[in-house]
Amino acid sequence: MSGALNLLVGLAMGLNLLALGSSRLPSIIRAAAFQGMILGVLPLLLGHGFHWAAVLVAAGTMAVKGFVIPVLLQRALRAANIDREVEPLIGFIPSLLIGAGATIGAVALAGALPLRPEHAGSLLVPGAFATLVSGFLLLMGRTKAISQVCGYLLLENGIYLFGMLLIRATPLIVEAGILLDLTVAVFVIGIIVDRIQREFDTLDTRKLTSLHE
Amino acid sequence: MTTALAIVLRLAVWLLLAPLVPGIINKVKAWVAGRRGPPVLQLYYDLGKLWRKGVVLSTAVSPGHIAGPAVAWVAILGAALLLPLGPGGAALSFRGDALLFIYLLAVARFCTACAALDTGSAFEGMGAAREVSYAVLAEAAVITALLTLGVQTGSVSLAQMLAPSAGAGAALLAAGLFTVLLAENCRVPFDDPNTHLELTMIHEVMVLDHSGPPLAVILHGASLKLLLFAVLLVEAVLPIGELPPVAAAGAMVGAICGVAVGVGLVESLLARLAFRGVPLLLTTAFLLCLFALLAAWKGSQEEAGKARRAAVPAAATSGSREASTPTSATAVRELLRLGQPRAGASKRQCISPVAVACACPKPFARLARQVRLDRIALDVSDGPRLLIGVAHVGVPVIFRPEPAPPLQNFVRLMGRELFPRLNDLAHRNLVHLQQDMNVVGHDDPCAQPVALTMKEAQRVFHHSGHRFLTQVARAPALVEVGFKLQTSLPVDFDLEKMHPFAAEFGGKTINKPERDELREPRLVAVRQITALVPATKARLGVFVRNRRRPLALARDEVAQTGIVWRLRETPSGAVAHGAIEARGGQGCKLLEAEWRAAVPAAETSPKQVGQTSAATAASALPATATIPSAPGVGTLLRLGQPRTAAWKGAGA
Repeated sequence: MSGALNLLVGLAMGLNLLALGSSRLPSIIRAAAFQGMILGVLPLLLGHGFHWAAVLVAAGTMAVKGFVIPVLLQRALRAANIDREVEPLIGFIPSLLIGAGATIGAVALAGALPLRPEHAGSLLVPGAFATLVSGFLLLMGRTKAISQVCGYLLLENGIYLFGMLLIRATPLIVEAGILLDLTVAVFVIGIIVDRIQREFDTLDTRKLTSLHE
Repeated sequence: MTTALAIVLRLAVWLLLAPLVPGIINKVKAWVAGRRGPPVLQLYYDLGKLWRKGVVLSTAVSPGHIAGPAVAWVAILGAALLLPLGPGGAALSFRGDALLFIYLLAVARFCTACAALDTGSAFEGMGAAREVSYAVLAEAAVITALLTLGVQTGSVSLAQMLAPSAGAGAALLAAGLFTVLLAENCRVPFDDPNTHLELTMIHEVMVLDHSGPPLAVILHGASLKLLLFAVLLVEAVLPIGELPPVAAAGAMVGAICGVAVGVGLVESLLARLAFRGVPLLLTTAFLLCLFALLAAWKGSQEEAGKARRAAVPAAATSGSREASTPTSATAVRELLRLGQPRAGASKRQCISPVAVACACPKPFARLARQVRLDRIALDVSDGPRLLIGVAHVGVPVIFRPEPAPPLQNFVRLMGRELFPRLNDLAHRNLVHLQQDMNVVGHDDPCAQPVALTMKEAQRVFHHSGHRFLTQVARAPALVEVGFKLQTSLPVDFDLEKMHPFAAEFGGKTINKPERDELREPRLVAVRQITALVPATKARLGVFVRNRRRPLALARDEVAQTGIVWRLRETPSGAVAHGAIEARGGQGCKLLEAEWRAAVPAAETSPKQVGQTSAATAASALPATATIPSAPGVGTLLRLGQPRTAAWKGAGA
């Protein structure tokens, strides 16, 4: 069971790098969505029996992160008629290397942390750190609003992964609230993307630097 | 003689079989394209034809132009001889031959590039530049892959590194090495071996000016390199060394053919990458190998951890058994054997492992501090001459450190407390209130009960009550130094622990007995250190409380003196310890009576202990609970304090 868990978290860590290294927007969206679906399976693997709350959380997460949010993003992409190219501020190879360094650093950091014995062997904590850093990199290093949304999704995935440590203590309502927030946020960003596109004819967030009436 | 024969045999295998691999690849490509294709042995015919031809040399070249391919060929052949051939083993094998392997490949590349540059043609110079710039990334990947195997097997000899399977990261390693194979042999996503015209070609452009036998050597060397990387890939991934010889040979031949077919399929189905995309792919290969290395490293670390966990409990039980029956005589003997404090400090490093790793979480910083935790060296330079560092295993007293601070700062760095010199300690008065130091004066070491009192800090939802813990311990020495660290990075995600009284609002009891406290992540094991000081020094002022005169303690009174605690404010503002409490003989006897009363109760159930001790505590020491602690065993019992709300719940 721990092996399957570690495999899935490792896959999610690989998807971080895929998102950092890919040069097309749809593939970043797909990577974030796939990662969300992988993370959705985790509550079922974490043990504590086959509980209906865990199943509900898993199903909800997979549905929202795997289908609803990517569809929203794809629609925004289509509606705004954006180029599919990612314009990086930090190049692909540097971001890949930083991401890999962050992953290794996360593993080392998790080794140094005084974790509970049942969490010490798992990749949950390093995976969470690595995903957080990758999300931040994607947020900082890409100019297009859609790729920044994907960075935000990755960030949320990292926090979700961290929340797996608390799976027993977190009530279902919190999970549901987070998912709802996420969906609404992506929905709103989809609208904003459309507005930016109409206003500036581009999605480059570098132009959004000053406030006007 | 047999060695020479073995080398010659393996040379023949490498030399004769190498040109077969490009033939298989070409056959696969032709099959995918629906052609009949050249025969599998085509490269043999080409080599024979080229060998018979003459050499056409440019007037601009130096002899290095001919020597380059020859040296490269020999270097590749040498690298090939280092690789084990499945069950046959390597022709040459020694410790560290993995390094030689990498360097031989680099020498081959250097010679090919040099020979290309030697022609003076800009075209070939460009090819050499590209070859070398790709090699920077590909070489990093190869080195990482070999490092992975080295970490996996703990060896630097290729024969041992390649024998078992690559373990956890085998798939990653296979993908990385396959990409490197394509890049190093100038195969399709990186280069097109069939083209001789495009400006983006790499390897073929370097050999444009070679002809005749040098070209044959180059072609043969290229096929040798392809076979070499295929063998490396296959042996790294498959557990060739663990199979029976026939199966291993079959598996190897089959897997190499599979690699060749894979290369052919890749060449047929993929287009060559854009020039800018190549570094990205090579970086990906490097990262794949890097993550395989990470997986191998994690795996070896876990194994080491398992071994350590298996070893430590044994040491811990033996240590506690020693500690449970310490006599003052043995302690003193050990003290004398260990000699001077400063010299002894280093010697004592190797006395006994104390069960720290399994009893408490690792300190945040690093192993060095963890080591220091259980072997505290008394730094006493000037001052009392009799003072010797503690040698006996002591009573491992586990203090309950400060509880987890409020939520907003639950992560913070480990605090450090300097160990005061005992000379200062002897003359300490009220000005020095910042140290947590428990001192018992005595000039006649024997087993005696020592009471430790501690007051728990406040917690969330717990503003009014204080909790006192009293621990009865046996210490055969004179000075007890309580050593307290701040909680080391208390990352505790157990909400019940962070809000211990949250259940009060739900009307449930909070007085749950807690067992196995040592596994709590925010507990820090604290070693108790005892040392000998002259009784005269001890009388000088250690036991000053408030403005009372120094106690002139008689011989028998000293044994019954209580523990001195001093108030101390922690950075977070919580009170860490109780007030100074020097008890006379009466208090100590009372404590002992409590202890005797509590011990049988402790054997029945923790809840009863709480009640008993609270009952006695309520009569004798308000807000104090007595903790019986079996000497030498590092257990910590936490008992309920007489808090009305709590006891209501317990009673109900």
